Amino acid sequence: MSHFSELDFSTLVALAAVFCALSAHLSVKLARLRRRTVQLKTANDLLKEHYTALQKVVDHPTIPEKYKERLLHFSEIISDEKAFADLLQQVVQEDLYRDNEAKGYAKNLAQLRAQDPDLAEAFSSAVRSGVAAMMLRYPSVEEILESTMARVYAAPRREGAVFAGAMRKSRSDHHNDHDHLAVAPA
Amino acid sequence: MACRIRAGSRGLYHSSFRGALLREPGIHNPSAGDGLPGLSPCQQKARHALPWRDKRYRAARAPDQRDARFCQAIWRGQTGLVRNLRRRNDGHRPRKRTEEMAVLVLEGPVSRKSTGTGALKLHYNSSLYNGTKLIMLRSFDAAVCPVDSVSSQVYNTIVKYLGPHGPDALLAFVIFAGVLGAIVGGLDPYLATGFGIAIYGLYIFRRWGAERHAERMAETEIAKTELELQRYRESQLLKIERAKVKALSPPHAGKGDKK
Repeated sequence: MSHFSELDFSTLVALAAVFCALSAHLSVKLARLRRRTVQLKTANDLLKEHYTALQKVVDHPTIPEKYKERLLHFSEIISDEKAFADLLQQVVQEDLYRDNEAKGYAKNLAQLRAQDPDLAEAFSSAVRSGVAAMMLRYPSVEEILESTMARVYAAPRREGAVFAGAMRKSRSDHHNDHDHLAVAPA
Repeated sequence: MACRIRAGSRGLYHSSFRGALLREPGIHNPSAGDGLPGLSPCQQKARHALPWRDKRYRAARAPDQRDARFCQAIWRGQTGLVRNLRRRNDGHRPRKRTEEMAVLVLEGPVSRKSTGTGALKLHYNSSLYNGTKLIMLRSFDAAVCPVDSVSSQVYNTIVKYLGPHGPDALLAFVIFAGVLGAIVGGLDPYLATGFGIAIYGLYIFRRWGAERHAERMAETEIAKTELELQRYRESQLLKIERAKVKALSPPHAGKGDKK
């Protein structure tokens, strides 16, 4: 008790303040680490879903070669961090869903759905899960993810827009002039 | 893209034999310049073990010095996670333990009852069409509650009632109250404060290590999946390219050669 009465009260308050500040700082840091871990685990699950859907589409015996190739190139584009960040910026800033490629994607997907609903669902799932996985995978796209992309991507037409952007990027990378998945509207 | 494939394949099968491909030419490595695997004079007999077809293939695709440096740079530039996967882990008990833990975390309480990776695959196949929300929620649950131990249950209960920073704040409060009690009880204030800070520091140190480790494990898992996906994608694209080349080649070219 004697020690307590001898203690300078301001020192005690200062110590408590430093202790609380340090504790809060470390707690925030730990929470950030934990959040990142959850993001990475979710990204891994979604990436596995993308992989399974990709395998289902590519290994399907009746699917046309151009569908396979486009989906593989799409997967390749979104796996590149810089290309993916550019693609997301492009999708957010431009109205890519009005692009012919995006319209063609929707049209072809509808045709595929009429022929084989499971396959069309796998195709769509490969696109969606791939984009969602990479959004959580790369910290550089976190700002886009948190600000606008999650809300924007909820619109179904954006799926076609992302696909169209990736195809545009793929064409500019490979300099190929093959016929692509898109069908120009009449 | 070709270089990427090469770099990828080097990453996958970076044995000591292939590592010799990147050696500088010299007296002990005379064949480095011609792109063949460089072997020391005492290992020259081993060259006969290399089939002529494989040797020709290696010579055709052997990179020049600049290319080799570039591929080495790519190899070094990786995060180190994939390289770590290739290390032997026989004698690394903590790593083995954490890998087992990671499998438990990834499988979660649903598929933990069934064994093997087949169960995991089945789970992903069955949840393919259930949308991403289910997987995201499940993954979040698995991350928040990795093991069903008493301590994790207590931790989750505190998080549930006090929020994500609740456990840390509660511990800080308890330690602070303990320090105050000790001072009131007659302990030297600086000694009591020192004890309090030491206990809290130890907790934070342990907790920091655990969180960092969990993050690294998650990075490792995703790197594994990415590598697997990359291998599949590249093999399929190669198949498509081959089919295209085959379709483009003239159908009677073989007959003309025979004549």
